[in-house]
Amino acid sequence: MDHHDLPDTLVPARMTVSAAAIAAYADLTQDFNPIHVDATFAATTAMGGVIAHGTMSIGLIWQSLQRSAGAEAFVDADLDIRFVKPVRLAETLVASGARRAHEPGVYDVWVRAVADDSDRLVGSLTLATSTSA
Amino acid sequence: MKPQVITFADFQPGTALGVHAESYTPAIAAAWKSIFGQQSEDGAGGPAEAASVAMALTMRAYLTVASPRPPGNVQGRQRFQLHQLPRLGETVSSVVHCIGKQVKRERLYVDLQVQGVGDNGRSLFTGVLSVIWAA
Repeated sequence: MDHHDLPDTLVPARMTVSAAAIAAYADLTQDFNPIHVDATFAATTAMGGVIAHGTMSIGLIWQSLQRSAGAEAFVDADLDIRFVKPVRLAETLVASGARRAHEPGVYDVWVRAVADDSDRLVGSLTLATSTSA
Repeated sequence: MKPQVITFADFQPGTALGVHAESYTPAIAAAWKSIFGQQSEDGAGGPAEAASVAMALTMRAYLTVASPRPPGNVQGRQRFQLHQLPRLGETVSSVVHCIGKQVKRERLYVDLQVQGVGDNGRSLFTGVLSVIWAA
């Protein structure tokens, strides 16, 4: 894929985190850690309540990438993210990314909470690109 | 006899913890769609779904192989190289290795690599989970 064909900004992808979504993600990953699925237990922890699985937010980055660059962009894609802050029930998240000016095919990516515009995860997404002649 | 909880001391960098095989089933696809949307513009049936499923299969392999775990582990970082997208119906075999561990500021960090291979041995993904191990 030619890096000249890539957008400067990835098309945003959004979701509002519901209990049903967390339960479905627990089923998807078989991760039934009570911090994610047991409100009574989660209320007794330092988190003070249920938090979503960290990797669920990465699904939004993949949506953003598909909307921005299509299927070809996924081959040999390289994602490196840090989980910055837990995602709470009922938060609305938005994922996007910005192309780095001097690194062809590399995006800074993030998932943020809409309410306070603070990051839930940050990192980089490197796409396999070539320079057209 | 109940299996012993895996502690930080048990990890040996460079050694395999185990292998886990799962299929990308219609039920898995349906679970993804219930979270992220049913339409093709949401990624349903497309690369966004497949990439998320690859990551989900990574987590399934880790959770199955690195078990039982102490309560309170926290994942701090995820690296994920997607070589090819898995296909609906494909069986993915994932090998889990410990590739590193260190104590940093009194926290116990473990790096676990998950390599997924699909039908006919085609390489699908290489993931590294960096986990703060609780004990």
